[in-house]
Amino acid sequence: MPAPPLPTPLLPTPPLAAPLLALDDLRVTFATRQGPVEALRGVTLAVAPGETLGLVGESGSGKSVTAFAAARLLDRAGRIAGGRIRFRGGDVTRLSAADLRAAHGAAIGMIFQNPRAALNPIRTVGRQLADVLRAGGLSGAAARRRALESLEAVRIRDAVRRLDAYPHELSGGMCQRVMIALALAGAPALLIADEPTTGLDVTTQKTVMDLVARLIAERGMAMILITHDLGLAAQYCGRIAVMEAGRLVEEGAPDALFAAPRHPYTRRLVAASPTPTSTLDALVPEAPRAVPLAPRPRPAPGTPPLLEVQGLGKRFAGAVAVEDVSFSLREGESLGLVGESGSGKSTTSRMICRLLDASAGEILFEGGSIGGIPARDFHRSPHRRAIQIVFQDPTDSLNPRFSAFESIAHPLRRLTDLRGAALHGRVVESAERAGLGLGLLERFPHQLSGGQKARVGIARAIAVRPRLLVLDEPTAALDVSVQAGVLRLLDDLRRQDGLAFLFVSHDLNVVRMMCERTIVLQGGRVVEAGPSAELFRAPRTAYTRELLAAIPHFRPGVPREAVAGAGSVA
Amino acid sequence: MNVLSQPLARPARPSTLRHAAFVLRHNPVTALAAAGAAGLCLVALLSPWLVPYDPVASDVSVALQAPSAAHWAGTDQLGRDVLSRIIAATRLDLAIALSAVGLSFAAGAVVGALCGYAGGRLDRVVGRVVDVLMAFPLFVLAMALVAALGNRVENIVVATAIINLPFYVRFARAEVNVRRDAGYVEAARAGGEGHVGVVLRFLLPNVLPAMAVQISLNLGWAILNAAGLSFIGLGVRPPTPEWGILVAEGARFITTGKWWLVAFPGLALMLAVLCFNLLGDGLRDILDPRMRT
Repeated sequence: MPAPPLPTPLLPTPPLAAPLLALDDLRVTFATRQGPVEALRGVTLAVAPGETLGLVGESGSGKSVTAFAAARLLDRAGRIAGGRIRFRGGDVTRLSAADLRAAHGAAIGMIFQNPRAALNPIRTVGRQLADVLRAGGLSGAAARRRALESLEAVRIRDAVRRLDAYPHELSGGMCQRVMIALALAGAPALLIADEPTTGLDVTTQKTVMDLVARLIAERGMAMILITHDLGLAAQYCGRIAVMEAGRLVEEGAPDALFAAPRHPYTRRLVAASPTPTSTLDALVPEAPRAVPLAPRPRPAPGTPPLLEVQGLGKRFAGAVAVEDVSFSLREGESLGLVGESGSGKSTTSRMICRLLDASAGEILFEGGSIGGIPARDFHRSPHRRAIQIVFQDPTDSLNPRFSAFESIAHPLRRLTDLRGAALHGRVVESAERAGLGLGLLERFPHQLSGGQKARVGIARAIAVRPRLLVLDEPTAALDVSVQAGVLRLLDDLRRQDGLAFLFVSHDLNVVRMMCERTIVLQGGRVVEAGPSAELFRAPRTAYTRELLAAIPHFRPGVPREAVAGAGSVA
Repeated sequence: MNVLSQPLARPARPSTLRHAAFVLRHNPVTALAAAGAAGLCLVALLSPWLVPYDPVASDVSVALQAPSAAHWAGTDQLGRDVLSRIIAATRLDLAIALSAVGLSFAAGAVVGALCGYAGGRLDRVVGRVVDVLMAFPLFVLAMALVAALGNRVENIVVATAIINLPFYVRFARAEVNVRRDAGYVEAARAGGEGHVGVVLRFLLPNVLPAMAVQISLNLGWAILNAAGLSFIGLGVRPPTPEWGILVAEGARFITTGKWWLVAFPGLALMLAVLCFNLLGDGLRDILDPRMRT
């Protein structure tokens, strides 16, 4: 065995009970054009029967590869280059597909990130369940009976009717429950859950995870939960393994691990994960603030607010998306817009950016109405420059044919008179302020990382020196450590330029840190609004309380039971 | 604009070239097809200097000779060198095919992209027109068009362009339609770009690579179409050397065993179509994002 990257005492020996699944110095390489790439560089890991193990790390750390290799589900390019996989004591490392099926039986069940994509869209839920059960040796009628039972077990309401539903007729949370039913149908001894709640709302996430936790406890199953969310892992796992760059860097019980992380990577990860009490400065402890923050100048009395929204509403084909939303925003102020999917927060932000026409209400910018200008003509309005937006998906929002320079220069060419050297200078200045290395300006989106692409998006939005910046989940697609840096950058920009922020997010911890005031939306209506500190400390409505309680937390130093207890108020 | 971004400007996308090189290395058929297509274009450009004999000068003393060292592809009934006529015909056939495909691509991409972006009534009207066009047997439509417009080379180009048009319109429409709601389109709107600019500067460039496949596949078809029209006596007329005419003229002598009059022009035609079709398949592989790891 090659030298481990860390002193061995950090990695406790596997549990003494005969492990269900044991990985011994597992190495996986992927064949790429640049030659083989090592995805796993010697992972040693054991899962005991009935144990719940959380596998955490950032994208590219190899956590999914570990699970896929363990289930022998690597795609064609992946190859087990070394080490051993034992399942119930038997070596399954190099078994053929048929032998593997015999050895595993239905011993490993898996649930995936995108449940809708993992379900067959043209077969009903009942048939898909029956397929699995029939493969386990049940006859048609018995399979259907069992399919119904398994849907009831995952607490799907009206299960008889749902048996004949197609995946597209179910919500995301429902689809994930069906996936869980499918994974558990063969009564496996081990469940591998790969980011099972990504893309689900916090309240849905909580119900889905509570369900999984209860089911595996009832059936005495083991689980490997793969997640980037430390809070989720801490709340639902008995043991946590942290991965970085294809290696296991630290493992232990969640309380001990997060209270006193020993490996520098774990420390950085824990620090960068927003908690109910963290501050922006605490997220990136090692990097000092670039610029001292200037106090925001008070506006002269009598000036209208920068943005005023009155009774804003939007209907799509008769369905209400947003109704009667009103608020105002002063210069340099930051306002958070939170809510679950379908709450209308993105629709509201699109209407304020004038990318979408409102069905009702008024939008006033510096006292003048801009709601009257149709979205299709707003690119000619003088206010276009003043209202800019940073999009949720940094990859999707950059033109694949534009270099970073072109992407940042585009709005300058359209909205300002800057040309030539002045334009070039402004692009460089914006990139520098967004923390984008100048060497990256000539690169195309596919040559940039997620964090770098997010910075191009921010540089593009601030290049024209807007007054109001709408941020639509600007960090939703980023790893926590990258998110921490981007959040700090945005906060610095706001304070230096007196920019006003409309910050749309589903992550309440992020909104609490970034915004002075917060509006909570539900079903297109405002349910609660107020100063962030107050709103998060003492929410007035049941919905806000439910949202806050659903966030999985770990609190360094606080025993997990206490946190879980506080979390299950609703 | 580029003057100022010069310190930053670099040769565009070296990675695309690397990727193309990688695909070609692993796909020798495409490399061969690309070389063949390039060779054809070169022959077309240099044909006046490549022909061993004057392609239209007749010399009855050497009429209907089988292939020999002097006449590699034999001679025809008027003693004209068949190889020279094939080489000279390359220029005309490629010119017809390229300009027809270029025309239908330019018109089809813009119209299709506008339909895909705007949707609504424009999309419905253009969609039905395209449906009607495609309801005709396309070669018969081309014949009718040439017959109606007049028996000239330009009209072969126009007719070939028109029967190719529906494919480009539909293709561009579908490709633009799926990208219409992409984040970078919204970002361009927020950056002050108008609708026409979004289509021309943002959507079309992103659709072009996929359309390159269509162009290559269509080139082979357009060559076949032009040759077919000449074969039945429409468009190019003798004595102008053209592959379809060469085959048509040679067909009269095939029963008397003068095979070379048909075989060599036919072979040239087949090779040209094959090259462009294989190139199209290879381009599809090069542009397939799943091939990029």
